[in-house]
Amino acid sequence: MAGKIVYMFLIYAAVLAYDLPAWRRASKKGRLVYSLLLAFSAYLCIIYAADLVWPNVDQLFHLLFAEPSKLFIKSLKGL
Amino acid sequence: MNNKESISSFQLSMLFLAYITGSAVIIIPSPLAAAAGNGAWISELLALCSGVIVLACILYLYRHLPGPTYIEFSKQLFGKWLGWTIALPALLLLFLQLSNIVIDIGDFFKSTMMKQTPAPIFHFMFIILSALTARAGIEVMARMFVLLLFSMFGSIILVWIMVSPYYHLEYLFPIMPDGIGPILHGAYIANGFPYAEIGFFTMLLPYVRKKDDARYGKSLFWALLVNGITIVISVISAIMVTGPLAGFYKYTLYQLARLITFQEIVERVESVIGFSLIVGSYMKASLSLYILNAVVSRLFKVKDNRFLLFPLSIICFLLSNTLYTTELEFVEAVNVIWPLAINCLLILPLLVMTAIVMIKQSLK
Repeated sequence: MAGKIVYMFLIYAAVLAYDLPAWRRASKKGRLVYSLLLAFSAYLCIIYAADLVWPNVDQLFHLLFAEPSKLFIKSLKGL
Repeated sequence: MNNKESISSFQLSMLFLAYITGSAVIIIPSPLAAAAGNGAWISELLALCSGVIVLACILYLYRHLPGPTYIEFSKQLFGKWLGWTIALPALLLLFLQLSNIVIDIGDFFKSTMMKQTPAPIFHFMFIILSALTARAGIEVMARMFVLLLFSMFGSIILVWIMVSPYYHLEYLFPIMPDGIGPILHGAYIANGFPYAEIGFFTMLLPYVRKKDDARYGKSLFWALLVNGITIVISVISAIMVTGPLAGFYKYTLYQLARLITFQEIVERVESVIGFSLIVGSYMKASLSLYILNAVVSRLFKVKDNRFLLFPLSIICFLLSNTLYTTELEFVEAVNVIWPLAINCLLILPLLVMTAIVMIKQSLK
């Protein structure tokens, strides 16, 4: 876990240091979207670093499409 | 990645070829052969037909609507809020698509060449390379990818020729021992990846120079045809060499390259060919990231197109490390769930939009 935290810290530090001049020039909307994206990435970062089984994007798709797609494939194979 | 960038119709078709052939040529033969057996090449042809329909739809929409991209199409036809409802699932699909490509690359290196290295190392290096490429802009990508495409197709053709002593024509028969069902299953898989993903390519159409507007449709169809032929021959080669085992070997072309020997001088060339094949995935990942960034920037009307690229890359990197806990989950997500999800969330709205525009045009 410590290794993952250091790894992610280095990545975030590099990205933020690089984007700082662009952040200063960006519009309010641009900064808001940037912050929202970083917040989402922070959520994923926690899942990654702590190996948590928290809700993720694939689970949403699995919930909506797993059963219908299996039924569809079953019906295709039955032809 | 500024808004004044422009490319020729030839460059657009090369980007399109890289986008649809990139990772597909190395990945798709195996699940196709597993699902459809000896009839995998028929599945590929059926899926190619679906790709032709999707491409025809996006070209039709682009010619008849003043809005240049999928986001603008949906907002113009359905209004602001319904347009958002259509665009947001497409955005999630793009995140998943890019993450899946990155996962595949990590898996390829881990299962073939560098088994001791942790997958996140590959994921990070790959995503940072794609981010830097996307940041360089579409003109740079268009110029660079033409050369890389030559290298990739050269390697593919070399594999086809060099493994020809192992071809067994009899392995191709019987073509449909279990009827049409498995063929349609294979077509379902190949339709989801790569042909339904053509829908995302609308984001790159506005970059074509105005004087080339009349020509790019034809060149895109040619690119699609080249893609179809390449995948069909790759699938047939895999079946003719490995027979009933074609569906069990992952990264079929790489496995075929392992068989290459010439006068006991040329041996173990699979690593060189493997890297040429991986270049395809790199091109697709770079283009997907570029498209993802364009979608987010247009959706939220962010003027500086480069500004959001690195946060998006971090998200894709983290998604690639957190999405699936086992390989089985990943295989199910790509081969079972993805085709239906992308058809419902991207292709269905695209078909509805095309139908609406066609009706409007006929009423004029």
